[in-house]
Amino acid sequence: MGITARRLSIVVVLLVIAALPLVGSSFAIVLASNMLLLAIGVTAVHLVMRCGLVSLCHGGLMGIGAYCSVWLMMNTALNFVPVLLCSGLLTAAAGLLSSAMLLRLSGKYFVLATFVFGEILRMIFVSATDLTGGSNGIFGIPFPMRRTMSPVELYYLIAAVSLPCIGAVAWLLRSRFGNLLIAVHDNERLARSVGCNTVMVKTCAFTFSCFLVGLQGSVQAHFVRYIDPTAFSMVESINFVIPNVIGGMGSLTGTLLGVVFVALVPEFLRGFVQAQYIVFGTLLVLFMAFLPNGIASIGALLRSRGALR
Amino acid sequence: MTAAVVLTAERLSIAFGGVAAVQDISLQLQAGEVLGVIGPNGAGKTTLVNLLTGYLKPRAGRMAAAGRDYTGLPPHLVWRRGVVRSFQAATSFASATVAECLQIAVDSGRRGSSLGAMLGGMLRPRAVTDVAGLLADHGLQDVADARPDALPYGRQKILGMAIGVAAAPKVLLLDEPAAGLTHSEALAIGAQITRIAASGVGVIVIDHNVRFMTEICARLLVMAHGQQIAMGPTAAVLADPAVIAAYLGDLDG
Repeated sequence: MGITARRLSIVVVLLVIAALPLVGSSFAIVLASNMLLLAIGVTAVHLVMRCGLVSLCHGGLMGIGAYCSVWLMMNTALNFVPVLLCSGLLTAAAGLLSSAMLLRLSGKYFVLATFVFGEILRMIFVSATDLTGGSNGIFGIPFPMRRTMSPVELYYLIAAVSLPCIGAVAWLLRSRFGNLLIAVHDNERLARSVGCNTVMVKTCAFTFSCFLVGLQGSVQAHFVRYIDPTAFSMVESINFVIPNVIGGMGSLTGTLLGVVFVALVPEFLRGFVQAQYIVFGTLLVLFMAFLPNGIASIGALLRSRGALR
Repeated sequence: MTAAVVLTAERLSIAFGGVAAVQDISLQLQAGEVLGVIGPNGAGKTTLVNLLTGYLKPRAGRMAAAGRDYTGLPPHLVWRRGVVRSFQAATSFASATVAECLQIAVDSGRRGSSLGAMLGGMLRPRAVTDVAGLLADHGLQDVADARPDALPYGRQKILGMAIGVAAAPKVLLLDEPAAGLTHSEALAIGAQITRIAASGVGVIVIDHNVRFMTEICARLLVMAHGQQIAMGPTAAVLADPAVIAAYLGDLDG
C-alpha cells in the first residue's frame, strides 16, 4: 500500500468512527465502544510482541489501572483526566518493577512467568477486600465526567483515549525505536553486537504497554461501572493475545482487523450460545493452521498466487 | 610501529567445567591491521571472540580498547568502545530488507539510550539514515530491497560484515567470514576485509582456510587447546615447527 492509500484509509476509518453515532443503533455504539477499548490492550500487547515476547499478565495489569482509577474517583475530588493519567502511570510503574524480573526470561518461560504474575495480581484483587471489594467487586462506579453520560458521550470519550493510544504505538513502530524492536525481535545477539541495549529496549516497550493497558483499565471501569477480579483474569490477557494471532503478529493493521473480527464473531453467534465457543475455537485453529501470519498476510498471499499465474 | 594500538588483551582466561577454553591469551592490535587467528577445531578461537566482545566474561585477564579498560562490560557497552563482531553463521535481521538491516545497525549503534529513542520516536517519525554509501561499499545496491535469506550465501556473509561496519567500529572481529564459501567468494570477502582495514579499522579474523588467511593477514595468532602456540608475521608463523606440529602437522599424517 502506498503512503497516500495508507493515509486515505486511515482518514476513512477515523471518519467512520466519528460518524458512527449519527447512523448506528445504540447496540452498534456499545459494540464499537467495546471494540475501541479492547483495541487498547491488544495494541499494548502487540508492542510487547514486536520484541518477540508474549505476555499473559496484561489482564492483571489492567486491573491495577482500573482499581486505581475507581479509588481515586470515589475518594478524591480529582477530575477524570488526571485520574486517567495516574492510573496509567501507576500501571506503568508496576510494569517497570515487574519487568526487572520478567524480562530476564524469554520465549515460553516469559509466557509462563507472566501467566503466574497475572494470576498473582488477580489473587491480590480478590484478597485486598478493603480496596477492591474482593470477589463481590465494586458497584455504582461513577461516570467518568461526574454526571450521567449517554452511551454516545461515553463512546466519544473511549475513542478519545483509544485512538491516541493506537496512534502512539503505530508511530513508535515507524520510528527509530521501531528499528530497535526489529533488531531485538529478529536477532538479539547481533543487535547487542552493534550497540543495541536489548534489555533497555524491552523494558521501555513493556513499561509503555503497561501504561496503555492501565489507561484501558481506567476507562473501562467507568464505562462498565462495575468491576470485580474476574474482569482482570487470564481470560482477559488471552483476549489481548488472540487478535494478534488472528490479525498477524508482525502488523499493527492486521492486529486491529483481528480486534474487529474477535469483537464481531461472537455477536453473529449470539443465537447459539452453546455452540459459540466451539465455532470460535475452530476458527482459531483454522487460522493458525492455514493463515499463520494472520489476516495481514491475506494480501501478500493473493499477490503471490497472482504472480504464479 | 607508528599506528595507534586499538585493542589490547592481557592474559585472558576462561574455563568451562574445568576445561581451559582460553588460557593466558594476550594480543595487541593496531589501527588498519588485520590479525588472523587460526587453530584446529576446539582451539578456543570463537571463545576468544566472545571474550573480546563481552559475550563471555573472562575468569582472569584484562582487555582495553584504545587504552581504556572494558573488561566485564556487556556487548552493547563494548560497542561504545568501538569493538564490534560478526557471527560464524550468516546473521542479519530476517524480517528486514538488506537496506533496512544496515539502517537498523546504524540506529542500534547510535548514541542515546533506547528510552531516548522511544521518547524521540514520539516526537518525530523514523529518522532516515543514509545507507546508500554502505550499500555501495559492499556492492549490495542491487539487492537493497531483497530479504537477506533470498541472497546467495556468499552475499549473506558480506551483508553480515556490512552490518558490523554500519555500527562504525574501530575494531572489527570476524568469526569465520569465509567458511562455506567458494574460493572466488572467499577472495571477494578477503578484498572487502582489506578495504575495511585500509579505512583505519583494526580487524581480527578467525578462519580455518590458511590460504585465505595468508592473503589477508599480516600477522597470525595460532591457538591450540586454548593456548597460544605462536604469534608473529604470517610467513614466520607458518614456518614455525611448533605450528606445523600442532596444527598443520595433520596434513602430513
